[in-house]
This record gives sequence, C-alpha cells and structure tokens, in this order.
Amino acid sequence: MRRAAATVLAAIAMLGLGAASSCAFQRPPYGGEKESALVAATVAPDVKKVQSLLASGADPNKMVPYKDHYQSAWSLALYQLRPQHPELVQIVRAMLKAGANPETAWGTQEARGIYRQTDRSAILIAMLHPDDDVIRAIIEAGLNPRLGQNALVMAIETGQSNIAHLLVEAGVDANCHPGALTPLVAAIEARDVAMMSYLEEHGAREKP
Amino acid sequence: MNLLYMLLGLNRAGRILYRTLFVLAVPAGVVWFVVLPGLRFHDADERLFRAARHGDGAAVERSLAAGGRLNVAAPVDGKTALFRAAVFGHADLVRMLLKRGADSQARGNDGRTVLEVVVGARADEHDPAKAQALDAVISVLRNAEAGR
Repeated sequence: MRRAAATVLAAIAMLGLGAASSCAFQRPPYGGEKESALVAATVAPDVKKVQSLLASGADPNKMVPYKDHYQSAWSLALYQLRPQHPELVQIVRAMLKAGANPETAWGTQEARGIYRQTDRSAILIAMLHPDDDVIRAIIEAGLNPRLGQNALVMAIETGQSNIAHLLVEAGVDANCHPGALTPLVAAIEARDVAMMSYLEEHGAREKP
Repeated sequence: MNLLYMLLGLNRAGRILYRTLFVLAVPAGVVWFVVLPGLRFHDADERLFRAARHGDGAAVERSLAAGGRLNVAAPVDGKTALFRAAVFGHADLVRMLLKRGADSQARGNDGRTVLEVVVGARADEHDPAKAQALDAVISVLRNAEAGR
C-alpha cells in the first residue's frame, strides 16, 4: 500500500517537473529555405528583398544556419544596426511589421568559448547602437514595459535623453529598480539635471 | 557545574543554546543590514535628498526641521545628501551641510568619499560653468578637511 502511494507521488512529481520545464524552456524556433533567404537578404543588406520575402511569409523569428551557427534574421537585423544607416533601420521596421517579436530575438550567443542558442531581449540588443526610430518601432510593436527598465537605465547612463523620454512615455516605470541602479541614481551619476527633473516629475524617488 | 558546561556548549543544553543562537543570528543579520536601512529612509529624508540635488537651501532647512536626518544613506547607492549637493556643484549648500554636521568622511556603496567622487566628476566635466562649480565644491571640501 505504501509502495503504491510512493509510486503515485513519484509520478505526480515527474508530471509537475515536466510541466515546469515546458514552461521554463521555450523550444527554439527553426526555419527553412525561406528563412535562409531572409537571413541572406538581411545581412546583404537588401531592403527590397527583405520586404518581398516577409510578404511571401518568411518568419524573422525562426533560426537557420548562418556562418556555422543558428541565427534568426530578427536577431541579425538588430545586431547589425549602426548609426547613419537608415536601410538597416528600415529592415528592422519591416520585420516588426511582419510579426517579429518585440520582446525577444533568438540566436546563438558565444560566452567564454561556449555557443548557446538563446533568446535575448530585443530592446537591449537595440541599445548597443541606440537609434530613436528603432526604439519607437519596438515600443509601437507592443513592448512589455518591464523589459524596457534596463534599457531605460542604459539610455540615461549613456546620455540618450530622447530614448529615455520615449521609454518613460511608453509606460516604463521611472521608479523601477532593475539592476544595480535606478533611473534616478543613473541620472545623478551622469550629473544630468534635466533628466533628473524629468524623472522626478514621473515619480522617481531615492527609495524606489 | 552544569551551568558552566552549558555556557561552554559542552552538554546537550549548551548545544541547543548555541544552535538556537546561530539560527536566530542569520535572520536577525538580514533584517538589521538589509531590511531596516530601507525602512529607515523616510519621506523627510526623501525631501532632504531632493532639495540637496537641486541646491535648494531653504528646502533643506525645512526637511531637516521636519525630521530629515543629515547622515542617512540613500537605499540604492549608500550615498548621503552631502554627495547629492556636491556632485551637482552646489558649493554653498555643501558648506551649510558641513556646518550642520554632515560627515565629510562618509563613503557610498562604491567605497568612495565625497571628495573622491567630486574629483572624479571634475575630471570628466567638459562644460566650463559646471567645472567651475565643481572646483568650488572641491575647495570647500578641502577646507573642511584642513579644519578638522
């Protein structure tokens, strides 16, 4: 009798573990030939071709092999953003319009010689080379305000006031505490009086 | 004799005593070092910091009268109101806070004193007006140090 109860308990525990793991780990999305063509057009960069491929149903979120590793066109498009390259911004906007995930981008990341397929925050990739239009497009595509908190602190630390204003107006909490710093303390460290006053108006406090 | 054994942790009662003390010490430490410093930061302190950031001497007086404490550390970076006034170049306010008894040797969570922070800020300030204000703060802080 006890043994049967133990077996039942073990079965329930395994079911629970299975359910938990299926929630915690998202299966990486993989694409086919259309997505390979999309990746090639993205890194070319060929705006017209990207647009036509997206129109024909290529999914920017899906990963395909590119230079020995799986990458999604969406992740590559975000990483290749540079200032004064409007065509790269156009590609990002086209992908968002075609259903690219405004929250995460799948790709292969290298850390200390180990390659892993992971999804990274799209807005944090965009913040490597910040551009107002890209951030605005990601916000319009439906960014979860919680994911914009780190980006807000980064924008203030690097003095990107326009982007900080965009994020706060999009509903990112000015009184958040996502990492080591709050937006207010970041503005103080940058000695940015205008940003500090702006954050105070939006409810930022020393004690978040 | 039994009592002595217990106090030295040699018998069963002693072991229970010390185990209980150890188990209680961990949550007590967490509460004392993590929870309370956050709770201790009141609205009056918040107003004091805000006034210090904006260099508003009258508002600093008001918040001190309302119960704001001069040497309380900010919950996020562990710095005091003196740091806030100093990095924004409010030399008069820094002088006033020091006269009221603000601790010029207090260190933030990054381990730096006010003078170190302001000297660092001065080194990467390019705006001449702001640099001049920071120089004034540095001289006030150096004078206070010399007068100690």
